[in-house]
Amino acid sequence: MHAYKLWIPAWAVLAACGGAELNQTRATEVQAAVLAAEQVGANDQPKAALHLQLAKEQIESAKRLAADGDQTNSNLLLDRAKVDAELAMQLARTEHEQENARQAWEKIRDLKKESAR
Amino acid sequence: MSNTRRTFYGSGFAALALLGAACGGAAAPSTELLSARNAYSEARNGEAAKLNPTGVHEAAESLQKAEAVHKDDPGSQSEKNYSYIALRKSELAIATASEALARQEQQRAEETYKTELEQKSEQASQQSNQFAQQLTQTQRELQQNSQTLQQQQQELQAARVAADQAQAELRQDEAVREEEGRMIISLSGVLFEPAGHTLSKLAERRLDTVAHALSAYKDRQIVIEGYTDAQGSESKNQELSQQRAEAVREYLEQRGIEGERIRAVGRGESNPVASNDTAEGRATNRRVEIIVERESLRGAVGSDGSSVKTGSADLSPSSTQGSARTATPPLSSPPRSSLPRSSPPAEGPAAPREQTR
Repeated sequence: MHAYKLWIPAWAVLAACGGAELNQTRATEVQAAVLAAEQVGANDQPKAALHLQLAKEQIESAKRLAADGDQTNSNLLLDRAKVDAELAMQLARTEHEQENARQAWEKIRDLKKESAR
Repeated sequence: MSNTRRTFYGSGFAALALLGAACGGAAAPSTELLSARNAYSEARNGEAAKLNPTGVHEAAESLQKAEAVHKDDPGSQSEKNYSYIALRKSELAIATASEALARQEQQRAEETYKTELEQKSEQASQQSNQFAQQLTQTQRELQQNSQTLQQQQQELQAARVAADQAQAELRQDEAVREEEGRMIISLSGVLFEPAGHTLSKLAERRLDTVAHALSAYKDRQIVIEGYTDAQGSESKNQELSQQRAEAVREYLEQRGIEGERIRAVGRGESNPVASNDTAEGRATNRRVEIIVERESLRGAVGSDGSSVKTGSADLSPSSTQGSARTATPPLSSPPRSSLPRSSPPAEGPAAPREQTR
């Protein structure tokens, strides 16, 4: 809580100085999260793909805000983009595991059918 | 910090934030904040609290931050942004818990599959063992049958050899002939004491050879026919021939031939094979003929169509003294047309023709 309050003046200073640069640390983290989500197949799963899309859109918005000098909201949008990318990756992984579980039970059903013959 | 403690603290923070919002009389929370609160509540009360306490704790921290911003700057864009992040953190916690749940489910399925597979394998193994046992049993039976067959073939071969040997032995000393598959052994000469039916020592030795030969024909019926010459009364001769046939039968029984397949018949002075006018002819006519039937008559059908049983009472005489016997004369006997004898009997011992003469 205290750290949060201390950082507000710093952001304000950065914005006042006309910093048009996107926060590179945050941006890098978000890009890494987006890549990770894509690698686990987030684009192939509707819900995950939606969050991945939201992450990408928020990155673009963050860029615009940074260009406009609104570093604070730019950073917040990057945070939002990051959590959306992380959620996209997690949803893809969850879907993958659920599919594996379904297939495992399907295999048991097949085995039982074969035994019954 | 343990997961349990994190969850506890996370829950505490959220509860405090909610309490603060309620008591502060502040502006109404944004839609984003309400969504974040609901999502966090779902995460905290669902499987996520158990399966992903770290994720729930992070969601609680995010919500706490959103609540703080709401308190300081209600309805601001920052409130919405932090609420958005808090919402996503709760969703992330729930999704992570769902992944763990799916993994558990998969693990359970794999264990079940393994168990099923083991049971199936065990079942297949038992079935295989059963088949193997059946196969072994069948092979054993086949081998036994093969051995039995081989043994029977050997026994049959041995019996044939024995029969051939027996016949050869008999042919050396006795008049043996075959008529329609029946073997007829004719013993003549000094077989009994004069006018009696006690076997001579010589006759016993000859009958020993005969008994040995007959043992090779285990399934055949044997008829012993006694004959006399034409001296003396016919009835006496009939009686004497019967007694002599009986004496031979008893001796053969003593030598191991089953009595149930031997029948003794007295033929008296009938069917002479030589002239009764000379001493040599009469000696030839005083004879015993041992007839070995051509096949087992046990359970067979007789020549007249009736069932033929073992023992003397049931053996059809027609099969022993019919045309077959008279059609081919003994090798050592003169032609029948030159003999002073009656025509061959047409009836059996049940109604002996000789006794009615």
